[in-house]
Amino acid sequence: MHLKNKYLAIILNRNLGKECDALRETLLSKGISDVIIVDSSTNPSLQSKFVTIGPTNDSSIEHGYRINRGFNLGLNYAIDNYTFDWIFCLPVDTQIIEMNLSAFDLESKQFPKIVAYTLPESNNPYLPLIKNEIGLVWNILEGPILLSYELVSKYKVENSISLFDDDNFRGFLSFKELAFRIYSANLAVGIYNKFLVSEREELLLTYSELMRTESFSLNKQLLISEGGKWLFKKYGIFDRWAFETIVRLLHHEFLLCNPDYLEIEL
Amino acid sequence: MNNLKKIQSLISRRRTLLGAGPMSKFSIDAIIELSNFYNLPIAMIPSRRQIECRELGGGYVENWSTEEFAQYVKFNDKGKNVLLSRDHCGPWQLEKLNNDGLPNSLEDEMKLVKISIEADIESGFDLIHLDPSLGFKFGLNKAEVREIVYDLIIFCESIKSSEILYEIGTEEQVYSSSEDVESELKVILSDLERKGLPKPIFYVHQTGTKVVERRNVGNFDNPLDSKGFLPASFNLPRVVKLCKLNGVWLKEHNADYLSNEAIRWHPRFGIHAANVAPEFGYTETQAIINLANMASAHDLIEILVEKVNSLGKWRKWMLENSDANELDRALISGHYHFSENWHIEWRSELRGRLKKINIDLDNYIYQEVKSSINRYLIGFGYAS
Repeated sequence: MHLKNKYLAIILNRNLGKECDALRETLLSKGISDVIIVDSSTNPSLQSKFVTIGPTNDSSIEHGYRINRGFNLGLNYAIDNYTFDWIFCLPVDTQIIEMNLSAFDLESKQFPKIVAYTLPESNNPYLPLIKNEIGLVWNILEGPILLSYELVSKYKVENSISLFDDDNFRGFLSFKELAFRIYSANLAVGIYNKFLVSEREELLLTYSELMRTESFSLNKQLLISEGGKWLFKKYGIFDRWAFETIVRLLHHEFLLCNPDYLEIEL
Repeated sequence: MNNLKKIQSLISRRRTLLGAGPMSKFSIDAIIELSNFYNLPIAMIPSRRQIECRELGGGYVENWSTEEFAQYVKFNDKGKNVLLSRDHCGPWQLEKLNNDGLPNSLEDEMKLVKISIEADIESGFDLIHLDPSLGFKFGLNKAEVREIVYDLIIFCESIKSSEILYEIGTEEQVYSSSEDVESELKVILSDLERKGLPKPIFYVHQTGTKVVERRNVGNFDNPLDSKGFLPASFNLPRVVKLCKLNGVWLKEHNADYLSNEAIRWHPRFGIHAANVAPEFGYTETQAIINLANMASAHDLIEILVEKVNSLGKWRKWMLENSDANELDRALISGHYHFSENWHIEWRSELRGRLKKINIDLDNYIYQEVKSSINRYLIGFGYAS
């Protein structure tokens, strides 16, 4: 059965059930219709009480889903079970600072080609560059994001969603690749200054053992080395700036084709 | 071809002009040799601490005065490819105190700056970077800092006998936002036009480079973008566009210790010019240490490290919670002392020991320094 919901959310949880459920409550109180919880907790006692998709195999227990795989699973579930306008994709350590859905309803309609919004933290360097409420971005960091049904549904291929690359395990350039895909389709990525989040870094510091992530420095090292290999294998491109330049040029071409969006160029 | 046309020709072919610090005589010779080898301009960018006029006591490089330095470069630069470019010329840049142990007043500083500029112009300098940004530390406001730029350009124009080019702006975070930087540039350019003064060719703008210890810790060369900072691939085209719209070229400062990849991307991002200095001094000190190791002169290394540490010039380059050891500090700041008598004697002793094992100290150091400078020239497109 497909339920019509304007706003949905996905939370990726790993061993922080309480925090996940608190975030779920916050989202519901802000007007989100339903929350899909993709959980790769290693112990049932650390899971959310509202798990939608649990760990599917030993690998997901051992390594977690990480952003790409986890968001794809959640989006797949959403597409199969709901119709919706927008879906928030959030790691469990997200804290909602501001989420004004009714304002977004009105303001986003002015720019229908924006099919994804990165959710900024208060120190996001693009925020001071926004002239009104919405700006266009193309070089964004991995993290919380809002995606439209229009975008997600385009990526349903052979019964599964492939918006993010499952093979890019640690998510190297992953959201630049998302922007690459979006601008390639003559659509756009935005940033909206009435959505504000913050990453609860204290969770990573306090519960890193529970979250079972590698140390920050090891993860960074692996992200760079594995990511470089992924980039070359997939695109034959040697460095990230070359890839980012392609995305920038696609963004530039979008503005040439859609001059109405020049007013929100950053 | 005049200097402006030489720079224009380089930049129009999408190459980045190198501004190279004359850290020692070896650096100076290598800059001259390489600019003549490629037959392309390199800006030699002495700070006032490195090279200063005789009247103000000279600088630490070779203990040369501006006059001696300029004469040496002009004599050896047969192809006339080296642009003599004064770096950070402005009040309080020498960090000297008056007889009461206090910083000079603005009035006194301006007198000294003008003496320095006069020597630069008389010695045939081609370009002057006017940088009064330290005025902010001494309580000046934006309008007062701008007035210093105008005053100095008026002074230069009144005494010049040939073309002088100007660079303005600073890499320091003295403005509150990028909008502030943009509006400041517009105000300065419009004031200069109204006053009938020449337009600067270069504008220094922060690009995400920052040197501490022997690393570039800015966001530009970080293999992953950092939260809270504009990514280089977004920011640089934007800054270049700002400069183009205002009819100036972007000059990057603090490009030392960048990866080859970051260097290679300078022309691709459209960065018109970039300054590198301490890295070449570090390279020379590292070469000396290497040589001392080759000669098993551990006693000499110990003396050098101890002496340089005791002289304290390393302090300004250190991270707040630095884990640098004494050798690191010596490598970072050894070049400040190359012309001091103790170092000349020390080097002479090492030269003698190396001779016994058939190693030519001077040639080894020179090749290392030249190769370090050439790394930037290759990345900046000089060889293509």
